[in-house]
Amino acid sequence: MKKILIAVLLSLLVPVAAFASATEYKTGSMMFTFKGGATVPAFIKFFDNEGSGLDDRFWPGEGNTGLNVGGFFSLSFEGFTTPYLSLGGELGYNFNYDAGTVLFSMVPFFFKLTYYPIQGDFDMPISLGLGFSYWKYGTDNSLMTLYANVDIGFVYYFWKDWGVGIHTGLWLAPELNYTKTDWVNNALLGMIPVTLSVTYRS
Amino acid sequence: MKIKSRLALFISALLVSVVFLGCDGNILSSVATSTASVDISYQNIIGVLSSTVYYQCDTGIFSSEAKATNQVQLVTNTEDNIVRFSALVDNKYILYATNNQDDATGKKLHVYDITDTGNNGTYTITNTGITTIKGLYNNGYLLAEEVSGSQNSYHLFYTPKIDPIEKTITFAGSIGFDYAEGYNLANFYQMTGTENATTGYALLSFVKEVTSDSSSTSYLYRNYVIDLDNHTSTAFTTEIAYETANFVVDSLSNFYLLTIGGRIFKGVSGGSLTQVAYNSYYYATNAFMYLVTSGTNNYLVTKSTTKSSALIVYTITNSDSVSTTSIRKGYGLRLCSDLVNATYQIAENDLLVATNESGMVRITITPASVTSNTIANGTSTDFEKYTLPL
Repeated sequence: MKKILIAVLLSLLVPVAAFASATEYKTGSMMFTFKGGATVPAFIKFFDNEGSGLDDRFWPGEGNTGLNVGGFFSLSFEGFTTPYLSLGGELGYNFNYDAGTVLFSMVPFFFKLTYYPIQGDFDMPISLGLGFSYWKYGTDNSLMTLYANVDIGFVYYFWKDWGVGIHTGLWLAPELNYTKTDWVNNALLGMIPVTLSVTYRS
Repeated sequence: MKIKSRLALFISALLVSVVFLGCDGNILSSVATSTASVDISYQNIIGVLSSTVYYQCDTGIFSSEAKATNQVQLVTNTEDNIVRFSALVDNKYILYATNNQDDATGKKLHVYDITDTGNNGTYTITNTGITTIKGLYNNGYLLAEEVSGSQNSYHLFYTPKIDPIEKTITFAGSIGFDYAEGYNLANFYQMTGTENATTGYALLSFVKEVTSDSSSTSYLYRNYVIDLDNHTSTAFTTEIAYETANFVVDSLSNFYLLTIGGRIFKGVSGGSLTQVAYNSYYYATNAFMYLVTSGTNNYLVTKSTTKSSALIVYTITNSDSVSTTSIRKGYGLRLCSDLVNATYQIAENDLLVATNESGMVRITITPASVTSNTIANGTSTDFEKYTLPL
């Protein structure tokens, strides 16, 4: 069993090794990335189904999460602390319309830790983000809450410093209401982003 | 040390922003229960007869049965005849006025006979004192302006009698209002849900421009209480500088006037008005404002001009202390996602509510938990899934 597991791990690492070249980055390297794309509402998990009177919802549309596929763009900065790890931050804007065409928007701003197992002409950044997001629903309903994400990308540098890529992952953002009577409606929102990126590195 | 203190400051700022930026909440529950708009914009619920509801919308007058089934268009709007006002008379006739100016100045109203469409047509009002029809209301009241030389006045006609043989309408009487001292007609108000009632109270408001210069203009509103039982009118002694959105009357005959800017004034008919609350909500004229009573408190359930806003409930204690609560659950589940255009009270705390673009619902409110933002506060059907009494 252990041999099989090692074989599987090695087979997964082979393509990584094939792409890997001498490290592209060093401590102090920097990176700026602009992302734009779509966000797919994946689920809304209500922590108290009985109290809220609502079942958990999955995927876009009326009767499901109620949200339609929306759009997202962001700007991020990263600074490398080792050749493989960077620390940075990202600020974005996301919007989705609900079934009744009411605008739901989210402004995530978070710190991110990114690991670059593959780097060179072709990068594969894997990020973990943690921070906050500001929500607005309609014109008068807003909330500041937590935010976390995982993001995996594939970026090709067609020039030495400029690359284009595609990313996906998962966002998690809880709605933690401040008023005790609203706690029954606390829930967790999951979104799947699919974005294209333009990156400048130095 | 310096870095640590800056980090602490940053985290503190974030925590403070978390506290102050959030409001109202319940976003995901609202999102998850959102529904697509329907291709209908309700304007008035004319009445309910047995298991059929009659209503006016942007394309004419319709009837439907429960859950919006068996919809029938009774009157179709045309360019020169768009239905603006409608009323159910004698549980038999739908009386309606259109945008046709010749009808308005020619003392003419339209009749749709629910039981005999052979009686349909344009009828003439036999009463005198009508130069221009200004409004027709659910309870059959007709507001008309009379111009006589330089002296103008308004008349509120009541209790119409329809003669299908002569094709005439004769009102039993009218309440008169002098059009003097620079006052102009502002609006006519009926309490939410009881628009069809021929008993109780209504409100008629006049407005006067009191100052005018290049930079500012202010207004004074004179509000008349209309006693629908005795056909009399009595003005409040206080004229207020704020336009009324709607009003309610409690069991002790206290009037609560909600203004479009979110102020609440309290008074009794013929007495003064005193402001008891001021909140930063905005309301349309004839806004949704429903009175619920529980214990010694009055609760005003309201909907502001913001489409996707919670219902705001004003709790008014017997010492006139006022607080507000946002409701998005229970009876507010659907109404928090659209504007309210019309209402019809089936029974106390049991209403049909028609919205601007999402459809009609039936809600019930549990008085003891009217301010509880949970499913315990009452019920709401889905849009267009309303039930009707048999």
